[in-house]
Amino acid sequence: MLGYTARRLLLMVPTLLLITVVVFAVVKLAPGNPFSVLQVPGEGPSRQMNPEDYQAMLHRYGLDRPWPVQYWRWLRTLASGSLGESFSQRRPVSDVLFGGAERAFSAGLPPAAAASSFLRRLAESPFGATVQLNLLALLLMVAVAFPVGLRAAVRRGSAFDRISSVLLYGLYSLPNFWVAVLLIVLVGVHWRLLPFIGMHSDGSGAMGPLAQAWDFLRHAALPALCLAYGGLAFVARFTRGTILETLNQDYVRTARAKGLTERAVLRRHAIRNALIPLLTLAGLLLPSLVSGSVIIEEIFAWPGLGRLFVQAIYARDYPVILAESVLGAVAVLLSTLAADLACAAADPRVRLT
Amino acid sequence: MGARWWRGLAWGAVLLLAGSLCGCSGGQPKPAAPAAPVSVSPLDRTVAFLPRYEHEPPENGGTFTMALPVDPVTLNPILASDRVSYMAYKWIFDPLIDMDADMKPVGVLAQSWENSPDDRTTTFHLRKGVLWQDGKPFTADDVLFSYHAAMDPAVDAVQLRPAFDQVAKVEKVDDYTVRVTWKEPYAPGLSAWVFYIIPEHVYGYAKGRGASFNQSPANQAPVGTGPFRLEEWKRGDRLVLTANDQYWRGRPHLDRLILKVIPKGQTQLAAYETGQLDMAGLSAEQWDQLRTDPAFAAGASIFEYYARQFFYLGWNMDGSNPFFADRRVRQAMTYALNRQGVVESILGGHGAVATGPFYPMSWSSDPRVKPYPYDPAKAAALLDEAGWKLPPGKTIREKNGKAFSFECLVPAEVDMFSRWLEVFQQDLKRVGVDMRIRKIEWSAFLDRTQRHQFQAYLSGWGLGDDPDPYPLLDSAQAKLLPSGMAGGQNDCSYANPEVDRLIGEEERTFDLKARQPLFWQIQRLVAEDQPMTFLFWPTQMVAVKNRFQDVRVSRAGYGMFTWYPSLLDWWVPKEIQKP
Repeated sequence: MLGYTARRLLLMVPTLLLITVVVFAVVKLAPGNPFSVLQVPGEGPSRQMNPEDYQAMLHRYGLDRPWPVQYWRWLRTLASGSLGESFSQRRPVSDVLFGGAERAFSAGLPPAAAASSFLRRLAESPFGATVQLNLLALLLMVAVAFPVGLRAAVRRGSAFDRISSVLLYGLYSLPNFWVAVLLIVLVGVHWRLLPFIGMHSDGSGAMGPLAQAWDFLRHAALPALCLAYGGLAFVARFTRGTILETLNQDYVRTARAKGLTERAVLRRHAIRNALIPLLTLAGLLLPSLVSGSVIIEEIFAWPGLGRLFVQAIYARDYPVILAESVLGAVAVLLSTLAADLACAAADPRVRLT
Repeated sequence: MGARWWRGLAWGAVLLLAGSLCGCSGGQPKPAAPAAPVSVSPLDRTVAFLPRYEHEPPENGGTFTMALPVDPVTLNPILASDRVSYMAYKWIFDPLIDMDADMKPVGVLAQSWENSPDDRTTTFHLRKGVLWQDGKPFTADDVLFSYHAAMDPAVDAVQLRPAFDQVAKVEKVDDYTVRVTWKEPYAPGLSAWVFYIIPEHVYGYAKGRGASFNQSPANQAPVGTGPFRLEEWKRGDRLVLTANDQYWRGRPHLDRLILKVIPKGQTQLAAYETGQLDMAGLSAEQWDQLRTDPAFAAGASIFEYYARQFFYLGWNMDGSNPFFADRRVRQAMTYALNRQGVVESILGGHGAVATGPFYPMSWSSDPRVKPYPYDPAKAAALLDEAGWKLPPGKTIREKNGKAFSFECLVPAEVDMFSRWLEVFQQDLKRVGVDMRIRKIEWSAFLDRTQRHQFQAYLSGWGLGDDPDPYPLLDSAQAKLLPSGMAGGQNDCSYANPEVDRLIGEEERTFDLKARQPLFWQIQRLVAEDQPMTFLFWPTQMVAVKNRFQDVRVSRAGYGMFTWYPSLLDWWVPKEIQKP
């Protein structure tokens, strides 16, 4: 198992390299560079640049070299343990993405204080903002979809099965940018029930930890809802299908035949055996934790990775684009691996060699 | 009936999934008391919803919250090149001079200035007793440091340096006097000194170490001489600025200025309606909807003013296409386009058809130059005359066997542009011209237009503080460098020796009375040549909560804040101040 994990981790390196080469090439093929976009669309060039001066600046940042050379330089930076400097924000990419959280440990604080400072900085960084929001959305999705899927499977063909399926597919087909605006107008503006901008209220810094958490939950409610509802159908139907499959297995019939109650059959035999495909599903869903939703983050002014990514693309901020791509790729590779390992742990028949 | 059903449904959906979170803050009743709009004047269409408070003098206190569409990039005015950063650093730093509401230069850190009789030097007399926000005094050394930092090739201020092209040297005469020597007399040069001054003792760096300046920690923790100081910057979320009690002009009346990062559009307006923002931009549709909405109107002052930019269709006349080198064809294009129609139908009347590149409300624009009328018959006649004839049985004109079919580039980011173009496409079809619309991403668009690789494009032009049209119209700005990139911004390759001469003369004329006729002459020549079809000057509409008093927009096209002192005069009566 250990050897298998090590091999999988090793195999990730070439995969990651390939991903970064592709991303780098695509980004570089797009016209422009971090300094050619110093103008705003449609507002026209009200200032102009001296061409030699401009070339000198490109040279200073190595942007006049062919892209393989630039890629090589970026790899060298990465190998030295740094994600590079953001062109537009002029500070380390790790500061841009993670709020410079790692510096909490080099500030000479006692370990406990350093850890809490680390967590606080991370939570307020774009990375933290996206992970918290998506985690909430994921929990919401699973908490609603799993019971619905389970019940639909047990009462297959019942009114509940049919109605829930229609409802969830109905939700699935609503575009989330539309729902988002609708929720803002109704819940946020008309009824004034929930906030819809950013992560915190004004002056939340002065609140106690519990009030702060509550404030955060209220801010996250609408965006998390928008991120969650679309996946409900998928997860619920997947759960239903998996449970149904196990319910048709011989061992379930055996269990019933030996007189177990339906509840016990379900809990001890059906659900447990349905766990394996569900774990695989979790492996597919987990990477979405770090992939910021561009649209939802934009509409709810959520300061997460998705907004950052779009801004980085417009600004041609190569180091930030690459760092986010690598982050996403690592998340996908790691969660696939984690799902495989979890399956092995859950099912002794799966042998990893 | 319909509406109730619909609310019920939405309620259900919300309760289903989010019910438990909603509890604690109940809905607040909206203000009732509809107020009627008081006055709408055609130019500065300020719809003021009273009551106004007649306090004398203004009272201090209160917070003003406005939105930024994205996070500022930096708070170092030398490095910043984008509008959003400007909207943040401009409250923290002061420029040497600024423009007032009438587009005239006004001293800020410079108390006064004068030119030598031969106009070769300008001497700035600096204000005494101005303090940096860390308590150190402001002197001529800071001005020199800021200038030298901006000109240091190792500093990333590429976009700033061309403004100082005509400056030969900047010297310190004494601690409060700075003398600028010009290479030659250059009237537009003064506007370069709308230049924000940074403190030498904070940013000071060794010669040749520009890189350290680019990465200075002070870029995120600025120390200025400006009316507000930075209290907090939560990246991607908000900036909180507090009034600078030491400000040389006296502290601004407002206690705090909060800049929240909120994307444009629906969210901003919703935030305004719920009181989380005190100002919101309105689209034409939103304006029409909201100005008659009593609940909205009860709390708002609404302003409409010309944006200091115009939109145009540029025609490439460098001879790479068979169409636009001919002046008659360009004139025909302008006659064929129903610009007034677009102003009315798509802009909702919020704009004016343009006659040239000069701001219609300023001294530089000749009111006698009238826009080309919409006249398809005239356009057809001009095209016939230019040899573009309609072959029998065809719908597209031809000349020497080549069809009049061209491609128009448009930045995909600006939805509105494409909507205008679709109308223009139909207009042109009516006179037998085929225009293909090609939407491309902004930096690709810049790349193509700067290489002059286009037939036509639609874009905008923002005016500088001086109306000098050199970058847009002088033939020297049309040259391509060996690299294939444009050396200037005359992308359409317009060349008229008379216009070049007039621009040269206008740039050496300091007296406004003598300078004005030169601009008027340029405008007339350009109107005849139509190097581009000037489309319109759009107006911007803004709602501000009406608890703010003495809110003014600049009629000179400077909008809400891009002039001095704007926000510094705003105040809120004590009894309606919010913390």
